[in-house]
Amino acid sequence: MKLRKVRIENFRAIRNTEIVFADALGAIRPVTVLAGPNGTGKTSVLFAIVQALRGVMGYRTSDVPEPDERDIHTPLSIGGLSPTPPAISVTLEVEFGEEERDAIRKVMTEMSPEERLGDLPNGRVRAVWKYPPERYPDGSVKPVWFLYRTDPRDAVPWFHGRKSAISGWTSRKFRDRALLDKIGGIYLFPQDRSLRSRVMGERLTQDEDSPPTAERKGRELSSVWGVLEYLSNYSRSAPEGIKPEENWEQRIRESFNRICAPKEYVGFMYRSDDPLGAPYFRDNGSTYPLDMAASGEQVIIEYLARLTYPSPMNHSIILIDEPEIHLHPAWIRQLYLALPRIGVGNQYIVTTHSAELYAAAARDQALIEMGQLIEQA
Amino acid sequence: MPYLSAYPRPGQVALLCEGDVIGYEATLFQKWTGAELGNDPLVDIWCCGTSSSMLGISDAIGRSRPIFVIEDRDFRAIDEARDDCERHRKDRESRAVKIISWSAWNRSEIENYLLEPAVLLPVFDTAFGCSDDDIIKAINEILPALALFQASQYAMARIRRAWFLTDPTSALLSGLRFRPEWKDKAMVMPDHLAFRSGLEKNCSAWTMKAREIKCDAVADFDAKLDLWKSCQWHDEFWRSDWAGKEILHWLRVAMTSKFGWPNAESGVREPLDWMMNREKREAQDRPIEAALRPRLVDQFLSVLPSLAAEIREEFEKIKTAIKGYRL
Repeated sequence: MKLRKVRIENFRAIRNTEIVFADALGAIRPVTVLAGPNGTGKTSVLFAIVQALRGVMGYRTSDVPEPDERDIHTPLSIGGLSPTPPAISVTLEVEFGEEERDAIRKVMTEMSPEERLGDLPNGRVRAVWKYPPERYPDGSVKPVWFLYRTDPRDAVPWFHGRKSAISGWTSRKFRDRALLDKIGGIYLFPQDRSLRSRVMGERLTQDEDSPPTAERKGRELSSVWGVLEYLSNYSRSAPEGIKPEENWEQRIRESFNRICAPKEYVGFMYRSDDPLGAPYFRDNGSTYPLDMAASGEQVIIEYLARLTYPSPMNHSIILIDEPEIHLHPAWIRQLYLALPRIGVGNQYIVTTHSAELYAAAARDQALIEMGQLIEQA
Repeated sequence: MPYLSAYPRPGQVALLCEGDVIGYEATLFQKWTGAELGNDPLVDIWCCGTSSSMLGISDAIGRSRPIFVIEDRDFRAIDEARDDCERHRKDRESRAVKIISWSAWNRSEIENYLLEPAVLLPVFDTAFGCSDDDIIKAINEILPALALFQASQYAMARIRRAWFLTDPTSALLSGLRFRPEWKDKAMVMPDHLAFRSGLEKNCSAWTMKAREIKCDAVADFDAKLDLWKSCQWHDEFWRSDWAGKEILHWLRVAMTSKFGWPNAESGVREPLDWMMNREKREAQDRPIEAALRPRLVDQFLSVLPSLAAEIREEFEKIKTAIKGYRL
């Protein structure tokens, strides 16, 4: 699934804008960087995409609050009566590749044979999300506050592809995991991504006398800790039987070591002084666990872990809000170069204030400027 | 006394090249150094526009970070370019600039490497929805028509090279003392009469040198035009010795004229009209070049391991020099 175009009206900082994610020849860029001064609506673009695609995508996130009246862009009025707040409208043009369409057809046939799945001209779907939601004559909100006007009308099941694939695989209704890997979804990395702050928050509420448990450590370090442990155990379970392309721990290690050199991700290790185990890192001869790692290391390992499990994120729309937070410029450069190689056919939409990202994206013709510091008349 | 670096970028090495800040070299080196060197060392790319600006920028940053400089060879012979680079290196080192290497491309400019069939054909095939034969046919029409331009640029380069010897900037003050000195706790001005006498002598020598310059630009032009006027795809020299930028420009003109280019508003592909003056033509070409540039660079980097040994070795040499430099 890829996003070709988004049109946003009256959402948060945005009054009216259209962003095209394809280059001059119509090819959708693997990475698009949105730049511009504070308040020009970069984060609003990411939130608008999430708001418009959540629900039907099976993507649940607490990082983007449910929409309310405050999300409606309200122009300032000078004197007189405040204008009537307009309605939010987000229109997306999404397209599905041929391989992804085949996989969705197979999944939907097995999972929801009653769903009608017509052909998509050029594999494209147009979806419109509006807020406030439609209301009944008595004023109550209709239960489904997402209003999808799709073209063709039966496009919504296409969005259900990944949700159904995950459900089918976890319920063992089908065994072909490869199907899951071929179907994209959407994922947002918000600005507040510091594992350290989450760990510290957890520790403040811990009882000092209680011994650490695996459950406690896992909770402390969010699901990243658990993902890395699972992948490590998976790799060790059949070291000779795992194909290199399925050895996700190895792939995470390689990507981390490239981006964060000279620091290294060693892997999930159990030590005599840490029988519960932890993800370990190495730098300049010293080895330390994830909770002792630098914020930047934690950020990079979180990107890599989340894009790898519960299944490799392929053909997905991945939104990253200001990835430069906590990262040295060298790591930002390397992350930008590494993104297109993480997963297959992913589309990354990234906001930034980083001069490094500005430069790299400008050279790739992948920079969209949302505004200037001082707008010319 | 420790010298605090005032270098404004995160890299440990500065790589200076010609071209635009978002040009071919900037795009290529950003990706190539990232992939080949990673953070060891981290390389900052500095685009200097022209080779003459490289001298100034090397002064500006080269005392804070070691620099690797790569100039366009343009229409110079490889030996001539090497000699020029050596001269630049010595000159800058005498000003305390730290230099890893000061070199020139083996080919005329970076665009010439993108003219390799394995780079050019797939990118243009995809961009214009045409076949290899369509592109080769277009090139075969462009090359003979470009021969005069290329030969004229060659002749101009010979003239510039000959007259470079008359550059008065260094010649007239060479060997003369004119800066104040510090003696016995006070500033002293050197002997102005000695300076005047030296200047007179240098002026006389410089005038003589200008008179002795021999440069037969017309003969140079004739020889090259004769050799180049029937140039075709299967020849090799145009890929390395001509101005590659111009070849790519005219290829884009020819291809968009025949196969069209997507209209920015409608997205519909329409043949472009190029009957306009140079300024307008270049303006119309700019977004087309910008769209194709990253594709050409990405294609070049993806096929680099399978390109001719001379190209691979040239890049390997850059990598080895930067990696081997003791920071």
